[in-house]
Amino acid sequence: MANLYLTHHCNRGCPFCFARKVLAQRRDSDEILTVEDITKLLDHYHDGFQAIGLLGGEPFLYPHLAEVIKLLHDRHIICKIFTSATNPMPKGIEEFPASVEYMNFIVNVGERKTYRDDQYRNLEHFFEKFHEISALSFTIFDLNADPTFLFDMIDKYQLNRTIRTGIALPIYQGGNQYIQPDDYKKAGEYFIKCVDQAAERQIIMNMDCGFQACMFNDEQRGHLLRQGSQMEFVCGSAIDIGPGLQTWNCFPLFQLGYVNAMDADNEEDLTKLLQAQVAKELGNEFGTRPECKDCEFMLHNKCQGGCRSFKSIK
Amino acid sequence: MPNLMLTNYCNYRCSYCFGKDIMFPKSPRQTMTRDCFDGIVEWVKKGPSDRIFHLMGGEPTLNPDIDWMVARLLEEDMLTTIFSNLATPHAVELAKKIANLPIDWVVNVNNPAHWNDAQRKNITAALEILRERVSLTFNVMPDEDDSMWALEYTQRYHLNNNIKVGFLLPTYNQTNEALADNQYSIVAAKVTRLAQEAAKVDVHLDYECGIPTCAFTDEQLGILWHCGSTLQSGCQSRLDITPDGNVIYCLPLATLGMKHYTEFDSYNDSCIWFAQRFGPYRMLGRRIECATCNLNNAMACNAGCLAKNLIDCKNVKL
Repeated sequence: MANLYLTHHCNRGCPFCFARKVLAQRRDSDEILTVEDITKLLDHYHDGFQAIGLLGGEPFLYPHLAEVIKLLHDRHIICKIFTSATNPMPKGIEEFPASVEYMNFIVNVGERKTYRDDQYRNLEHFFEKFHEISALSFTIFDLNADPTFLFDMIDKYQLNRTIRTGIALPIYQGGNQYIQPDDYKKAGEYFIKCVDQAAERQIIMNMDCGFQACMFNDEQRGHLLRQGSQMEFVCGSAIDIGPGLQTWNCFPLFQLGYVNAMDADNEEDLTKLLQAQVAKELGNEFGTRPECKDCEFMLHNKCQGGCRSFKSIK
Repeated sequence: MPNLMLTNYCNYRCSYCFGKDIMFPKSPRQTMTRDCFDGIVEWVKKGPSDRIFHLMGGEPTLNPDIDWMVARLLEEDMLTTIFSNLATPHAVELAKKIANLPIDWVVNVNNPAHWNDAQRKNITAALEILRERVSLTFNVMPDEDDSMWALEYTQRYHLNNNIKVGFLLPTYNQTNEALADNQYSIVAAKVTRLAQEAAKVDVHLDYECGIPTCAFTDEQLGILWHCGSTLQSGCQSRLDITPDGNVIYCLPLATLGMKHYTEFDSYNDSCIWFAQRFGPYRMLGRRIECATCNLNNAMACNAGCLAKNLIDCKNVKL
C-alpha cells in the first residue's frame, strides 16, 4: 500500500516514533504534499492504487485533508488515515459520512497519562463521531504498560475489535527509542499477555511489521493463532510518498535515500525502485541477527528477521 | 462455483463416506445427463462466478459422458478439478485421454495397505500418467499407525506437494463412521506428526473442512505453522449439485433439504438462499466457549462440521 506523507507537523512527540528524525529535522518547515502533486501522482498512475494511507506527522494538521479524502473517494481509492486524533477535526471531515467508502481511521493511542486534557477531549469527540470506522493501533514500547486502556476504549466507544500492534523499531542510524534486540523474547511474552487479555473481551490483536518469528516458540505461536492473531513476520515494504513526490521505503529506512514517485508507472515498479535503493546500502539479504542466515523461517520466507533498520545499530 | 455430482454411484463403499445418505445403494442410482450438465453450466454462467468447477461423485469417472463434460467446461474457459479415487479402469482411460489438458485431480485414497490388486493396478497406472496434476486427499484414521504412505506416494509419483487431510465427519443422520469426541485429539496428534515428516520432504498439508481448532493443542498449532501446514478451520462450503440437478448445502447435510437448480435465478441466488438458512446455525458453534472465541467470531473456525454440531438439534428445517 502507498502512503501519502502529508505534513511534517505533529503535536505528539512519541519517543518511539520512527518518523521522529524526519519530523525533528523539518519540524519548522511548512512544506506539505500538495493537492496538485497528489492529483499529478494519481493521474500518472491512472488511479492504480487499491488503497492509500494518509499519514504524517499528523494528518489532522494538514490543511487540505478533506479535499484529499474527497479526491481519493471520487477516484474509488480506499483511504486509510493514520492519526492520533488529538487535534480538532479538520474542516470538512465531520461532514463526511462514517463510511469505509470514504475513509477509515487507524488511531495510534497511548495511556491516558500521555495526553493533555484538551488532546484527550479531542480524541473522545473523534471516537463519538467516527467509532464505526476506527480501529486502534498500539506500539509495544513499555513492556510494563497495562494494555487494559485499549480494551476499555474499544468497549466504551464501540470501535473496531481488532488492534494493529506495532513494536517500537529503530530508525536507521538511530534517533528514537526502541525495543532492544535482547528484549524481543520479553516483548513476545508481553504481546501474548496483551493478546490473552484482549481475547477475554473478544478483541483481536494483530501484528504490524517488525515482529520476529523467534520471539516466540511453537507453543506461543500456536497460542497466538488460537486467539485469532494474524502473525506477520514478513515486511510488507511500505511506499511513503512525501512533499515533492519524494518517495522512500518506510520511515525506519528513510535515511537510505529516496526516489521520485514519477520515475515509475505503477505501484509494483515503484516498489522495485525503492527496494533497489535500499539494496544499495543493505544488500538484498534480510535478517538482523547472525542466526537469521541459517534460520529455516528465513529460508522458507516465513520471517524476514525483523526490521532492517537494525542493521545500522551497533 | 458448485461441486457437480456426475453420479451417485461409487466403486467403493467406505464406511466413513459422508455422502452416504444420497449415494447408491441408499438412494437409487443416478447419473447426470449431458442436458442436465449443460443446463447447470448455463445457469452458473448467469451470475458472477469464480469460474471453478469441481466434478465429483460418487466416482465421477463412472459417468460415461465425463470426457464430453470436461471438454464443455474447457470450452467455457472454466478451471476444472476432478475428484476421483482413480481405482477403476474408467479412471485410467480418462487419465490417458485428457492427460494433457489443464485439469487438476484431487484423488481420495485410503491407506494402500487396504487396496486390492485391481485397485492398486488402476491407481498406480493413473498416478503414473497424471503425476503433478494430482493432489492426494485422505482421512487420517484414529486407529492406524501413521499416514506416511501418503508422503511416499507423493514422492514416488512426483505428485503435487500439497496433501489434503480430513477428519472422519458424521452425516446429520449419523449413518456413517465418524470420530467420537475423544478421538479428535488423537487424530490431531497424527496430523501434526505427518506435517512434521512432510516438511522434511517439502510436502505441506491442506485441510478438508470440519476440523475444529480446539482439536489441537497450542504446541501442535504452532508446529503446523512451523511446518508450513498452518491449520485452516473455516468452512467455505461450495454447494453440491446432485446428478438430477438438486442443489444441496453439502453432503453431510444433504437430507436436510434440497432444491432444484431451476428454482433459483442463478448460482449466486442459491448460495444466498442456503446461507440465509444455515447461517444462524453456524453461529452456534459446538461448545459454550465458541460463543466468546475470537476464531469463531471471525469465522476463522466454524467449530468443526456443521452436521456434527446440528446432530442434537432435532427440529432443523430449511
